[in-house]
Amino acid sequence: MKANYESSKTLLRLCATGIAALGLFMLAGCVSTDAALTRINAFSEATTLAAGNTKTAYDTAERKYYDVQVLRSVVSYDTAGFRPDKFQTLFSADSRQARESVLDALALYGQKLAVMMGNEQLDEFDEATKKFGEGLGQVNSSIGTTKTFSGERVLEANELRAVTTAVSALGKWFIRIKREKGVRAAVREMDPHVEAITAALAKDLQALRRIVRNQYTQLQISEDKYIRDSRFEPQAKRQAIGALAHLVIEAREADATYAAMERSITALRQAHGRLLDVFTDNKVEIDARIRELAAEAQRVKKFYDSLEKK
Amino acid sequence: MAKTKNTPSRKETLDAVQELYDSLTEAYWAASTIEAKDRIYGAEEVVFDILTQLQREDLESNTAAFKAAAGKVEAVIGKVEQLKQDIDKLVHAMKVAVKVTAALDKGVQLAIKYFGV
Repeated sequence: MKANYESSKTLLRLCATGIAALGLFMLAGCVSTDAALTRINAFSEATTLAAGNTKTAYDTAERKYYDVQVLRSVVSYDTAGFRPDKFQTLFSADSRQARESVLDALALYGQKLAVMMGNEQLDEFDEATKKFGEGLGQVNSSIGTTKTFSGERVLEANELRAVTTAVSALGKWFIRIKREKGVRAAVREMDPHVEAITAALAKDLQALRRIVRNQYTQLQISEDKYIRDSRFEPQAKRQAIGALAHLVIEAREADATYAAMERSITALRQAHGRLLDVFTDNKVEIDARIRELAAEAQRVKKFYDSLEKK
Repeated sequence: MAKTKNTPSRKETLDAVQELYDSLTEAYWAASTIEAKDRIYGAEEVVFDILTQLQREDLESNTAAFKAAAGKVEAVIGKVEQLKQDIDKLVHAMKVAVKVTAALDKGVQLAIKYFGV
């Protein structure tokens, strides 16, 4: 029995060495997961930000339209009274919902990719393998205490470690290959949809840019008429004219922001088109596209943050 | 109403009304009398409403593209989620292996105790 055990032990040792070497070889052949993760994370964050900004763009257009209707009501109140039926929304609830759903789904898609490429499952697998190694060690030492193998060295600690390392390397390699293959397939399948969505968003943003520009114009001339029709005290008049001047500046900023938003949607399209580059050695283009997307999205957010403070 | 050869497209109509609105705005700021400004203001209000209605229709016509895309994106998300679950199964298999080794150790210890091996 002992002779059988010795031959099994030698076989196990050989297997462990072989599997560990194979595992190390496979790991060396893998594209750096961290490099891909960093970029997919950056893409996900920038996409979430761009989606959030676009939602705010719809909100802004809707709010400005409301402001226009309020100011026009103020101007016409003395002659026409208040007309509730004059108040409308730019979007119907249904068409707004359709846009919100797509933007949420786009952000969720980016987040799911980032989670998929994250280390959570690898760490969990690592932890389970460690416990497996400990359990194996426990079995090994229990066998060593039996009368049959009394005084025998069953398996050395480094041999057990080699088995555990090999199992861990093989498992992690399999996870990496499977998820990379899955993520590649998802990105490829998603690409035409990203193209269709970004084209629709760009069309919306071009329209919204014109709409918001007209709204600011309408606000300015309504404010101007309000100032002319009202008999303000000099101090109040100064404040009202200051508000009118402020609308001119805000209109320019809003116009620049809608232009930046359209650029960020174009950058999103281009970044997604190069997303599979994260699995290659040439990441120059994808890095540039993600940087561009993040920069435009940040610029737009800055404007909306400044609007929030007003 | 069916579009005839001479019927302008929505874009052509939008562009024309936009041009009118921009001209009225210029005229408003250039007008030197209150009466002229008031007259232009009245016209501009009407044109703004027409323009907004046309733009609203323009946005509405784009809604179908969003509706068509939503389901497709969700399908891709579902596949990514499935991939995560598949890998979770592998992690789970390793956790089962941990439980098996623990049970095995317990079995060996019981064998030592009861059979005196």
